[in-house]
Amino acid sequence: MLFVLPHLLTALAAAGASCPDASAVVELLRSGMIAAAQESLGQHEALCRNDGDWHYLRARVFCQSGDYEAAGRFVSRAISLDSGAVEYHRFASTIFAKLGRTGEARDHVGLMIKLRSGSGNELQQERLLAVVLAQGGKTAAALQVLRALLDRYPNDVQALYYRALFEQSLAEYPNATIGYRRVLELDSTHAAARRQLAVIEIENGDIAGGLKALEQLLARKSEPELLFHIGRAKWKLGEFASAERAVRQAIEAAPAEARYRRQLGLMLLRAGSIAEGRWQIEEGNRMEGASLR
Amino acid sequence: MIDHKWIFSFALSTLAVAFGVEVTKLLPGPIMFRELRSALSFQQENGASPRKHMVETMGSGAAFLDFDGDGWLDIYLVNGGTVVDRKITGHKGKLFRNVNGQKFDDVTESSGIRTPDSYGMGVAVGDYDGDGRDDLYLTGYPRSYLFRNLGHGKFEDVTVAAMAGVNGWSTSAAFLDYDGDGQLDLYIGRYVRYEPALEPYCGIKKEGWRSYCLPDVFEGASGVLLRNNGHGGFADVSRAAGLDLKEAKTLGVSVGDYDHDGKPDLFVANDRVRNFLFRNLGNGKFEERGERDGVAYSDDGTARAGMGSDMADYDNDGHPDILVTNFETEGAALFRNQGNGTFQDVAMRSELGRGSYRVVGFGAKLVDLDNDGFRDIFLVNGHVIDNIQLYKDSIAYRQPKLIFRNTEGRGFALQQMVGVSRPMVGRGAAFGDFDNDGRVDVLVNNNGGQAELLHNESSPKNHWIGLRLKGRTGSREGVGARVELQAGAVRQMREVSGAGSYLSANDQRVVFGIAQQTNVDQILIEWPSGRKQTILRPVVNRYHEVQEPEIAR
Repeated sequence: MLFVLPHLLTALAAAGASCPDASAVVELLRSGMIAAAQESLGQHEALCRNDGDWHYLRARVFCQSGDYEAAGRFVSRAISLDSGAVEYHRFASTIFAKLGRTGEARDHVGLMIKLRSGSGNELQQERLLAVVLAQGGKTAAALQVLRALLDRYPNDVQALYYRALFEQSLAEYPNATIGYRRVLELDSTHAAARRQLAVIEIENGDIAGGLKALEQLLARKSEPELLFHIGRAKWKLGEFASAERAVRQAIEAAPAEARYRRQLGLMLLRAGSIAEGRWQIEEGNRMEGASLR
Repeated sequence: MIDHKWIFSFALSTLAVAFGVEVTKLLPGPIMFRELRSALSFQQENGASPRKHMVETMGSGAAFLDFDGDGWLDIYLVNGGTVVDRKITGHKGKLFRNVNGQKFDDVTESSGIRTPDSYGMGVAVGDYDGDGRDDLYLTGYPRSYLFRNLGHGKFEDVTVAAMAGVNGWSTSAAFLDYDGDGQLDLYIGRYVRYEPALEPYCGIKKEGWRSYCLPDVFEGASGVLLRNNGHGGFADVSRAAGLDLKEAKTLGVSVGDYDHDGKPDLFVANDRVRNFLFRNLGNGKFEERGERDGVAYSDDGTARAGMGSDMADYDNDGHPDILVTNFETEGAALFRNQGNGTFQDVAMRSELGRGSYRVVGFGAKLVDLDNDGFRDIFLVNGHVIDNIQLYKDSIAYRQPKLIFRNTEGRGFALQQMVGVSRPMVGRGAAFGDFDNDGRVDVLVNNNGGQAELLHNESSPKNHWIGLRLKGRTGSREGVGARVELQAGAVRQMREVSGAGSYLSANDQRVVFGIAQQTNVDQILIEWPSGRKQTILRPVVNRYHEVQEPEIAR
């Protein structure tokens, strides 16, 4: 069905003079049909020359095919046509972060925040920039941004939390632990910091202690991420049935989370349910692939 | 019973002078190495090209062997090659003869070892024809070679005659006697169904940003089991043995009897595909049990990038555990054998998981480096993507080697290596005691770099005992034998195998560190033939050659 869409778009374009609706191209991109999306966009170049969405979608296509430079050019053109589109700035910041062009990434993050809240906010900008950099593989740069921010705002809870989170992502557990503890000193209700602290405790071998903390958090508010980590902890303790139950509950609450599927798959494999275990792991991998697209 | 002719000791100072050592590095702490920079002249040539052919970034291996049977470990280093269009050229590996522990002589030219039409990858060592001489199996792309040791430093390419050739991209290989007939068989891992001409562009499309592809761009390739027919030839029995799993993308192979049923099992580390644990059923067949037994995935269900592997008992409970090196942000895996046929990854519980989190690990060994009676971990690291810094600013291309000291079976502590181990693009690593001082040394082959010979200079205060097994049938090294030592309250177990690590072959002698014990109560050997042998109160701090008895005793 999707294969015929480019031709439909061509026919539509021939019938009228305006740039066609982009939803079909979006669908092609979602399906990973990059060549078809590219072909479709190319067919409407003349009609869509002044359309921000068209340039934005070209940028997305180039991004998916690995040509980040071209993606950067096209999203910049989209922004020049419609500087008020938050999504363009978000995408531009991601692209420039990946390319290591921190300054441009920062500019777009700043504009994005301005568009959302109506005013500039340095704290918000730098925090978000750090997140964008880390997502783009530039964790060291992200930590640098946060360190600079914390020099000026040493008690900024969210910056402290992100710093700990990125340190944890580099397996720097002692630093991350100090960071989460500082967050909790400043805001004892910061559930995410408490959860991450418990996860580190579990990784460090204090499974019972970490599990207890997670269950206390769950008693206050049920979240799939808590259920997932509770399941993992129980599994490590050999409480297989309740571990599986917790992870299944997490999946029920967040069915598209790839990690939960894979965890369940692993549990099933160990229980001897090879076919179902494999299916869950493959399903998790498929979901992750789809979300990366 | 005990032949004492294998008694060697070698003064450290003598060694340093003999090798003309340029003192470059010392690892502070209980485990110390010194790099003998001028001992070997070998540069691995990876043929790195702007086309970023995957094969350029994966090799190569290293081997400790005693090809001339003089009791001193010699060295073979595999070289890479070049890929130009469809033409593959193999660069010459090098064979170095250890001259009485005094120096290493390059004897490549006279050895007859030539691999001109294959890009070199790995090496396995074993006496496949039972003539008492170490033979060489060399893997690579697009073919592998078997070199028979003729004696007098000469080797003959018998690949075709022995039907031992494997097509495609072969990686780690291991000699083992899987069917217990006394003849060494061969398992050869293969990576992917590789075709350089079909390699896509990977990475960001920008000048200088092209990167080496991950294995996902190619189909997997099953491993190959070659059964030794006892008459100088081999037959491919992979399918009949149940080992022909097409999804395999194998880089690491290790051998051990994980269920202690007397039959060698195989662990296969795959890159971004689940790992395999092939349990030897004893009827010529294997059963793949990786998923069920808990070594297939990480503990969050991810198929990691398995590279090197080793199978050995780190906690002295008598059960071989499994070490696997992986990609950055995955951490190395240490699958502890729980004694009931299942494993649990305990790497993150100690500094091993965290300490290896930011490196791409290759050569790896569970080996007692300080002779305290517990196996430590030595990891050789280096990224596969030479421009990784463009993509990930917290990950380096050249990476340091890592040592994790075993804290008496409870876990592993990262050994401080301040200013010692210069970052390299480490790949193969072989482990063996080349100067017969009872401390295991390390030979590292670096991608596109100089090989490193690391002399173990850990404090000699700990005692040790070494054994060289001599079987009655098949291989002289007693490959597959299980050796148990008891010294006071300490019990240790070793299995004889040259396999393990990455693309490499290790010293097949058994060395036990016994810390401050000055006596060994007994050593029990279970030979692959089923014979059992007990050695009472052997003399320590020396090697012993042990002949397999004719009858059980």
